[in-house]
Amino acid sequence: MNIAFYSGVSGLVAYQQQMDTIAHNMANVNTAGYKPMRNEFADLLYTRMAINYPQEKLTGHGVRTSKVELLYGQGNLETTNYPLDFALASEGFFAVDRGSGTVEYTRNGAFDLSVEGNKVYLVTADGGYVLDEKGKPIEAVRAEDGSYDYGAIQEKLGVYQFSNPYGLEWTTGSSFHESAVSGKAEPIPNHSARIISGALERSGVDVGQQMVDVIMTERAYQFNAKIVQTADELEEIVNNLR
Amino acid sequence: MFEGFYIAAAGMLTQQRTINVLANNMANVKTAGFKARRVLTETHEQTFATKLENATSEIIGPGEATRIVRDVATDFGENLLEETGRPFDMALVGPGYFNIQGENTQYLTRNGNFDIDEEGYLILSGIGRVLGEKGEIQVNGSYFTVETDGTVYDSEDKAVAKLLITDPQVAAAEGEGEAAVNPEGANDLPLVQMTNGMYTVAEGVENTPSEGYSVYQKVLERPNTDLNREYTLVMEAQRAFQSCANALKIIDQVNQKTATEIASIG
Repeated sequence: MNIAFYSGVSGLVAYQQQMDTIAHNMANVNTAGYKPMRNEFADLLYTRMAINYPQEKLTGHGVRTSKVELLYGQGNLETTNYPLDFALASEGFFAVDRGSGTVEYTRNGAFDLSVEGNKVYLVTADGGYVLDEKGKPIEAVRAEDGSYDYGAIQEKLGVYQFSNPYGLEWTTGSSFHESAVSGKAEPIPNHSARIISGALERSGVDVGQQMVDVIMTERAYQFNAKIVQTADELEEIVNNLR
Repeated sequence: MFEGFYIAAAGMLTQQRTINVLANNMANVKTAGFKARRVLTETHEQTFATKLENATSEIIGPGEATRIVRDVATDFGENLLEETGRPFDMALVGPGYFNIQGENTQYLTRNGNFDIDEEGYLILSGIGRVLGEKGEIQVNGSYFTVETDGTVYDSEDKAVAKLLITDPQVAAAEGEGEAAVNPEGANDLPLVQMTNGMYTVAEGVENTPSEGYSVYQKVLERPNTDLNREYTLVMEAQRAFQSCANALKIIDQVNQKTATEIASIG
């Protein structure tokens, strides 16, 4: 009968979840290519105050986290002067094959070279193959003097675009894979994308925005905790009626 | 004889329901498009008086002072806007509602936290597809823009649809002065709240297009809930609940005295 109890608890759960998301964003404030996420909320079911009486007015049952949204957008670029760091200054993603069976897409362009026998491949920091526009691993060609042609590597980099990048699904390492709503990955010509060598895209987290959210979420949590306490006090009053 | 008993009990029930509604307002302090609700109360006495006026002029004295919930009203005041940077988020400024095609019902809402489904249509997740003036809106991805008049442009700047923004109004009552009465069964409110938090147009009310609204893309409408006010109202209701409980206790003690001491006189 005491719905306020459960409305309050639903608020505690929802705002705790938002705090978890904010903490995750804050923890990734220095992760290259990271895109922040954000919780959105929806109200729960409304029921009649007394179920037997059809004219009774509606009362709500609290809140739930309706979805966690990806805030896809351009992050700031930072110069690293390392030739195998690539930043995308335009739309699109790099494609990475981590051997999971599905291609993953990322804007984290911190790449390196991996020597396998007499072949050298372009890989991510955790060892996944970076793919070209045909979905094949990129092979680096070694010159006779032992140096690599970084310009040739940059020209081979595959850049893929989605009709709805906000619909991508998260995997690990600030990477995403395509979902039913993101649309298919379409390769775009390497020269029409703006790839900058020697730079990295920083995390898209805006610390100021996150701190504002922390304060608002904490207050919302606090007030919902007070509601739980108030509902408990009502129960106490009822229990002491006699 | 036990009249006071039930008056106090009804008071407790009303305050409990008030707190339930306020708790819902506070839980939804960050829900997009949410509107705070208020419990309006009345006494049985007033119900009697008005009903009698409408029927005959006869007056049969005061009724009970029992306080009950008359209505849960929605505060349709202007909300706050928050910039999100997400192309599917839209906020309405000014009068009007977004129209959503549910399974069997056409819903109205101020919640513009939209998504797209697998076929590229704009949806309000869990409810249905967003309606434009010419039916459902297919945007095919996130590269679209919405003008303030609600026109949706695709990535090539071609107008593909226009959001259907309506503002249902109760038709003005016929006649003037005291003769102005709404037709039998007509609603005095244009919107009916549904159990999923959406609204529908009340029976007999026309879903007329809204005027003087603006749509903002990449912005969400946040509730105008003032937590200070909400919590003050909770405190007020809690104390009223407590007073009713104490009154109930006192009446119980009086009844106890009646049952034991009066009987012992003889």
